[in-house]
Amino acid sequence: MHNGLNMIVCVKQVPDPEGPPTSYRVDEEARTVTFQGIPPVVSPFDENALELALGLAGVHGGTVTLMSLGSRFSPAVMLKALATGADDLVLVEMNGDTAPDSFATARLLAAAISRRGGFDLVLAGIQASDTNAGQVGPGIAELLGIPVIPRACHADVTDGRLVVKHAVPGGHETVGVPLRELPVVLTVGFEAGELRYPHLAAIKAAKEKPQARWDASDVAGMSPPGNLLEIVGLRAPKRERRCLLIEGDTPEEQGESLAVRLREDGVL
Amino acid sequence: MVSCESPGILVLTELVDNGLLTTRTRLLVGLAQYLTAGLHGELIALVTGNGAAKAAREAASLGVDTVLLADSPSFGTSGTEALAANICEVCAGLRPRLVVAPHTQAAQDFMPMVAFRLGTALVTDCVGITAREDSTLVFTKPIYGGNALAEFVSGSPTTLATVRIGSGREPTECGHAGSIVPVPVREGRYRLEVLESKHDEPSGPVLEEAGVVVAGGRGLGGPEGFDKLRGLADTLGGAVGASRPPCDLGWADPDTQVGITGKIVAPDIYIAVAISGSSQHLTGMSDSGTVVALNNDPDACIFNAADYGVVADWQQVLPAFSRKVRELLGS
Ligand SMILES: Cc1cc2nc3c(=O)[nH]c(=O)nc-3n(C[C@H](O)[C@H](O)[C@H](O)COP(=O)(O)OP(=O)(O)OC[C@H]3O[C@@H](n4cnc5c(N)ncnc54)[C@H](O)[C@@H]3O)c2cc1C
Ligand SMILES: Nc1ncnc2c1ncn2[C@@H]1O[C@H](COP(=O)(O)O)[C@@H](O)[C@H]1O
Repeated sequence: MHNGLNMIVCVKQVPDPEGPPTSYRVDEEARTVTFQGIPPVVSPFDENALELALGLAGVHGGTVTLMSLGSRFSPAVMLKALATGADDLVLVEMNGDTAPDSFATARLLAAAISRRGGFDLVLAGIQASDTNAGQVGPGIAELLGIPVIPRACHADVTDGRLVVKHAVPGGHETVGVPLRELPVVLTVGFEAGELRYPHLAAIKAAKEKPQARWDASDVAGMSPPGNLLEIVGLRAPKRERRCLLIEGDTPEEQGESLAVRLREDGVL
Repeated sequence: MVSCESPGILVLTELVDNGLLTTRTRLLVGLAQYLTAGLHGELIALVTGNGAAKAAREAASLGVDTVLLADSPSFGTSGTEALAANICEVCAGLRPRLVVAPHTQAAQDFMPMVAFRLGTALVTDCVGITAREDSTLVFTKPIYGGNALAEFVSGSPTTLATVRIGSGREPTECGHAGSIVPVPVREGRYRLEVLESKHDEPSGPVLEEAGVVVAGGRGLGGPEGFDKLRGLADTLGGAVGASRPPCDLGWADPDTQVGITGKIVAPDIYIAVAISGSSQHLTGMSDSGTVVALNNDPDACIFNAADYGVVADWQQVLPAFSRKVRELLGS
């Protein structure tokens, strides 16, 4: 019998990606994006990853540790995540204004995960909603020298094995990993389901849960990893098109006129 | 190990079931050919697959200098590990400036493995790669769900990128065929035991390569709406797509999701039905030729990104539209 899985979920704090496009200001000079009136949240797929971990812990026992790398953490965001049922939180704090790229992020997180030790699973989102990179999960796996199971939808423990259903190009695959061969990394997308909502009492209680703050430069050892990619330009996308609105007395008429117009314009 | 005098660009290819290159691979070869001119290096393609000789000949005919052919059954499903191992091997020998792959789900799996194994930079989901006069490569990619486009330069000798179909170009005639060099295949060790494997029967054209995409959003209200879209897509010889909520809700196959975390499409015609036009969705289809939007909210963002719009209830517009299209096309 095993005593449950010890899981580390990588959660990143990002500006709410569901905010309207107008809340994003692209500063081309400073090469930064600023946000107006949208709160920080946990990157959505990291919430799905946390849900998958909480589900496993709920059925099979074990622990769920939240790990986040960043600067200017919002206590409310991290407390809410803790309150959903995670056991503890490790914040890896960076100073300086340059955001780490995928390479540096994965190296710092892999180092922090190794320092923490004693884990069976590492979970990450398939991609962060700010970088849209999709590299850190598989990157951590490579750096730790362990396999990655991308786009996990469901996980269970049966017959001494971790059994994971995950999306592969053009379908799904179910893979098994004997518990003694763990750890592995799972990357998780929305298929794993929405994160449960914490009760108010749980949010209050979350303040008492263990929270560690580590300095990124300690975690990385003597020389913190530098970035491989440098951002040299930033602009807002141009997608504006002039839309021809098709009028008509009834919706049916509008539909027919649309077809006729597309035909006339040589689109169809 | 394969090596090369003046390494330039390595193109990783994707094959269709009939053993030929996918359209996006061909367009990527065209982009690489264009970039190679400024980099003064060789253009190399790596063709991997089971029975891939035909694709290798096709690549050679497109103006690739050298086609490396890794033909082995180990590149079947779950071939990610095998692919990554072989790409690493080839890169270690060639030391190319740039390694490009079409931006696909498969590439999203193997490219980070390769990048972290080699310790090189990777830019995923590029919408553009350009060479500056000093031959520095600049990679453009959407960030913040497509709300911004960032330009990156890389500090590593080799840089990896996955590239969107819309950024490719048709290869130019070069009049000579490149050479095909078989390379030894390193059997990748798949470290996980596959218990079950389910592959969806492809229905209609591949979403990313379809000339017409009819996509539905949350406003369709349920799976039945998608049957109606399928009817229109069939008439137009197109594919059905979806925004994320219908995929989340089980109304549509998650494989049909269009957007930053789904498929990136650039059809000649994109018809968005009851889709609001979030930036995460728009970034996945804004390279489309003509965009048509049906939405009952005149303020929906989708109208800013569309060429033709109808402000009305889709349930009333679509049947009339579909009927008229059938009539006009005589089908
Ligand atoms: C990290 C991240 C990644 C994401 N990735 C993607 C992605 O890849 N692809 C994607 O699509 N989304 C993605 N999203 C979600 C995205 O932010 C939006 O939530 C989503 O695109 C909205 O889908 P929708 O337009 O179908 O739904 P809604 O925004 O709810 O819009 C529904 C529309 O239907 C219209 N409507 C309703 N009834 C009718 C009717 N009867 N007739 C006509 N019109 C009607 C409404 O006016 C409305 O405009 C992502 C989000 C995050 C945070
Ligand atoms: N700064 C961070 N802190 C914690 N987790 C992170 C951080 N950056 C990335 N991750 C994890 O890696 C995933 C993929 O990120 P990315 O490669 O940037 O798209 C995210 O969904 C997170 O789970």
